[in-house]
Amino acid sequence: MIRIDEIHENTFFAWLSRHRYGIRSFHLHPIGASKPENIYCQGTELAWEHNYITFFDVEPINLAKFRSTFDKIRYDLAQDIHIRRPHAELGYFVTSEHDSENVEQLCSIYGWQPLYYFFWGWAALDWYRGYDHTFLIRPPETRKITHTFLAPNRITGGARSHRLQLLYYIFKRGLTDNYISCPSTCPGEHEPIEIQLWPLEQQYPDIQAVFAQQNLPLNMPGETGAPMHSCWLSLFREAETSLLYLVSETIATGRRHQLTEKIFKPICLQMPFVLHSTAGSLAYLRSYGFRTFDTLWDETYDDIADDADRVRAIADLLTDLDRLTPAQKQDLYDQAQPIIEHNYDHFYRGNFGTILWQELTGMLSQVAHDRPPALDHNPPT
Amino acid sequence: MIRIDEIYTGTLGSWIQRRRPDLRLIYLDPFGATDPASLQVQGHILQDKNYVLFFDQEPIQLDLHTATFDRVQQEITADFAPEDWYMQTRGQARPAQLGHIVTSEKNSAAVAAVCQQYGWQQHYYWFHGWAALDWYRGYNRSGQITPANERQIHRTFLMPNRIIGGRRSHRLRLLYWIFKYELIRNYISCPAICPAENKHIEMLLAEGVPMTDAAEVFGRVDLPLNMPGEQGHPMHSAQLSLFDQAADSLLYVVTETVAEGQRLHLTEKTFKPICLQMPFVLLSTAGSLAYLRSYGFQTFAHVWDETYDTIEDDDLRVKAIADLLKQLDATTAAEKQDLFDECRAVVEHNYNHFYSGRFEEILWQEFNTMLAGL
Repeated sequence: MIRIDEIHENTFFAWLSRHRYGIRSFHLHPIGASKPENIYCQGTELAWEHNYITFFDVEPINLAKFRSTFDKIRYDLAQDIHIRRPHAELGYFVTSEHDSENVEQLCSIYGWQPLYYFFWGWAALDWYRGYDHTFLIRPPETRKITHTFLAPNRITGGARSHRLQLLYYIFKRGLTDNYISCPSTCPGEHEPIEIQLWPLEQQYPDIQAVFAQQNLPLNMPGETGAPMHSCWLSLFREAETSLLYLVSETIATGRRHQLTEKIFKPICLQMPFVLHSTAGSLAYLRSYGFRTFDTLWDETYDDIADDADRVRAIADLLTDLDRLTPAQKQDLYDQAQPIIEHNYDHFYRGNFGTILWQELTGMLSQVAHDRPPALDHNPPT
Repeated sequence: MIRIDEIYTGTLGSWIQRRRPDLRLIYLDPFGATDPASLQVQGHILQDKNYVLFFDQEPIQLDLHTATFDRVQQEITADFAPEDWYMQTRGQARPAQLGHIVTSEKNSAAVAAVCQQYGWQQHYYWFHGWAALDWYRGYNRSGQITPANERQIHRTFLMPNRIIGGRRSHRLRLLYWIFKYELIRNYISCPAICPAENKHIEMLLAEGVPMTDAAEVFGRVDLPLNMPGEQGHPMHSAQLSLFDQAADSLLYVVTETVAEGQRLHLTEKTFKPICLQMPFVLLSTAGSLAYLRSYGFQTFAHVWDETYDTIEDDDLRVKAIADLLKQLDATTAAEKQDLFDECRAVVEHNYNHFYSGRFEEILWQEFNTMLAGL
């Protein structure tokens, strides 16, 4: 466990101060912020910093959108270090994106060394702590499955429009006798859904008509206004009657792996899941010791590199599963229980935390121990 | 782990809904409140068949809390009486045992008196053990705590004190001896005005410290005493703090909430040295070290005299603790370092016991036993 609100100051900067004295540290505060005015700087008061590190580990990298933030760090907040050490390769850049073309591009522009750890794994461990010691979640062996899937959707605009693509198939194929939420106005972008559908019309000519047939907004039972539930579990009743959780991740396009807290919701709710994210995301999740459900249904959607084709494959899978009888769904759920139990225990019994800790300390150890002695003996003026 | 802010609505409320849907849940919110207006209720009037009051955060003081208990019995559970009304509304006879109270204190005369007065059945679990697990989570993966094997010990003890009035006057009695013995070259905080009672220390000494020279002894000290970098005696219950002072001190003097009478009631304070990887001396009621050991923690009898824990007379126990601190303070810096090194195996055991999940397993078994008794 890491206290996620304090990770930058009390875990990273405390470690750097103790083990890599003289590194200036930048992170974005509060969690989720990305603008230049949200850059929080920590330095060593008694030394000339010889290098710097930026933690941009919460939001996915969007070079066009966040360019001013990166420029502020490189050409303002860390400029004195570059002037002091003009010939050195300077700057570490820490993200929660694995195998990311965006991170590679950004680091090539600024000359930073990329580092990686799974921020969202730590966030989930902290946010979803303690639910194993509540009675909110019905034990799997006592569940009666009546629905195929649970699919919460909140932000649907901008870089999250992949959710609209999957909802298009769900609506078009009449898979709506499930637990699905979809706003009529995106609470993130504050745009009506009709406008958000415009860019998708060329790819899906009937998308406006398909969405128009729905009585939006679709809300989960007892909810209104598409509430934000990132740091809690919820929808317990819906979870216990659904065969699987359809996770619509933050990122589902391009070459990169960035899973967020969303993927851990079905794991903590003791459910199987289908994952709408970038290609290879299931394999990425398995690399952390979790198991997925290829023994129960076709998970080759995870191998499809084309983003639109992958959405269709996921929709095909959901369509197949939705056609099953209630008894067949119950049987599938029962077959999934050993995997569900493994994932739940892996999350709550410490094994996942141990893997993350090894990864995090390994990441920190890549920060070089190369403070030039001359900086302390002959401090520049 | 239990999310301590959600223990009533999340853990207990969901257990009742699933397992005892006819049990009315009564608890206090916000955290630490004990007044009648802070009582919260989950249940169904004229349908519930029994009720349970969770009074598990603060120690029970009959003189202070009678109005709260009265409201529970006379207002919140008024629909359980009279007996023929109960039969008429529920269609069954009223149970012989009506009303349960769950506290976080053991061997408590106050709890026994409440149960006798209100006819409630008492149950116990260690609320503050759960609170500490939640509040102090993650410090094992921060870089704030100097590893025990890297510490250079220069001081004898670290002793934070915030509330010193009313029922916390045992802290003043220990401070009396510390000041009298001139042990002030340690990390000690003490306000000049109690932040809870809002009374000046002179008044508090008159009320709670019987020694005739108390005013003179405290007069030698320039109050308030603050920890380095602190002022105004900030409340730190839900966080660890004082990392530099902890790394510099042989031990932590825990001045618990309750240190008088026979009951056992330890709070999150006892876990601070455990999480800070420190030995500790515990100012609490007699038997508190043994109570802590019953949860799998170890103490320091192999390094210094812990017989203070067996002294039932409260004032003599305070004096014995002060004598121990005086004795330890008289050692050289090298001897303090040796003592700390001798404690390290126990410090490591306690830290691992807290952070590895073993303590949690013990608490979870205890918690489920408590629930099964309802």
